[in-house]
Amino acid sequence: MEVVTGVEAQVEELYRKHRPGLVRLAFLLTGSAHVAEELVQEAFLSLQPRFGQVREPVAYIRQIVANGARQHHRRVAVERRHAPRPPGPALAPEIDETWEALWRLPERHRAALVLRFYEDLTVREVAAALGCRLGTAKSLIHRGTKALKEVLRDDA
Amino acid sequence: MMTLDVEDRLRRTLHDVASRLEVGDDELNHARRGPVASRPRWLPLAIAAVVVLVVGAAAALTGSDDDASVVAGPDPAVTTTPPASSMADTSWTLAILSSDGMTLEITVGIRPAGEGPCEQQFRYEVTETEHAVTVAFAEVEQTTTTTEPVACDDVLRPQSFEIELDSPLGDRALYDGVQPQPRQVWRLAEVVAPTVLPDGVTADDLRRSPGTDFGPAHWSQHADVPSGPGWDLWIDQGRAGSFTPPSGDVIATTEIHGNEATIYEYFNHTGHMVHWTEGGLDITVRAELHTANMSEPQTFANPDVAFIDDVLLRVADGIAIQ
Repeated sequence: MEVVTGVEAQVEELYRKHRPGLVRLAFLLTGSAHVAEELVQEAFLSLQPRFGQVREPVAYIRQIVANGARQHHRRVAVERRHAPRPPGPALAPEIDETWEALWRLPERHRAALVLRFYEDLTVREVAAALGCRLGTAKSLIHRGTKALKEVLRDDA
Repeated sequence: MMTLDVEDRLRRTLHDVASRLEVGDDELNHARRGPVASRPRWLPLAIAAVVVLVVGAAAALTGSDDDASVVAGPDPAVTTTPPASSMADTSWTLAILSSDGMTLEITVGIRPAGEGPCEQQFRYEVTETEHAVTVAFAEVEQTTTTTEPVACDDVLRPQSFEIELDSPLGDRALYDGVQPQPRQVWRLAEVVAPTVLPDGVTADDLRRSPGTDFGPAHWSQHADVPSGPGWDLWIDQGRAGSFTPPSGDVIATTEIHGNEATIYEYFNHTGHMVHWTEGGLDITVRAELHTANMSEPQTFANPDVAFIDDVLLRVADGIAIQ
């Protein structure tokens, strides 16, 4: 029988509670359900040995997921021409256009927009998750929103 | 407003797409990383065991001693068969041996002693053989439970226990009953001691805790600093060569006790650290802004940065290796 230590139990409790939301966030950032699952698993495993030092575990996990998503995109050498297809029936036209437009943005802009408008993070929290300065996060969100608007207008 | 329309449309899109992903149950697979997952099945070699149930506060600690003459444990790389422990479920953080070799100060856990959702209680068992000692800790299940979410704002306050051995540790290996390899034992003479601390901080305020992924990564002393912009002071020590530079920028070089020292900025510019090597140890003194204080900018904005670096260097200059 495997004995679970106090820290392991606490990490597992966090894992059970936050994993679904974090996997969905990772999917929005990577476009891959499989990569999303792996990223979140790895993030929680990396949390465990430093659990005592991490004041905000979910923010810490989110940062690792965002970093992992970025590394994933670097590994995938070929630029995506189309947005990844989410599971389920076809998207409604407006949702589909927006999803496609989002994936035409640079990866960094897309990540900032997902964190800001899906996770509803503050700009400061977006900066923390992306490991950038507050001003950079503001700029990414502003320019990302502006670029998204332009893409949608051009496609209209 | 077009901008608001785009933001609203983006929100709806992201939630629609995310909701399509069915996330099934999945276990956190501890076996994929590190030795924590696989518990060793040791041979039952117990000769003498003392079980102590600790309720409430940790054992009181007595004064310090700085005799460096005691040989404190073997190299952790050496494998020795540890005495059996059937109860260990918690790997302790730090062991400091007294000058007579008879007393271990063990640091364990991450929360203060007591009964409640934000506290921890431990019991421990000491098993001694001719060649090894196991000090095994187990967390006592809390009797008070709550289904309400509780925000514990003091989660990095390890407990310390003073443990008397039947005979001096000498060159016997020390185990924690969880990890298969012997644990590092620090002699009091190796413990880094600050003689200068920031305003409002005393030596009694310093708490011992596991090392972090910054700095020498073995163990740390830290305290909240009431003066300045709201920050924590950390003093880390590890064996020379164990230091890993943080993911950040080198912002200056200087000298501490005649040794080359480097000042880093890290953690999204919310941490400053000075690192140097001295007396066979890697030492860092760090300042980290309180991340919980989200209403304030999370950067060492001037003039705080000058204040912090001045305090860090004064603390570093005042570090004594006993």
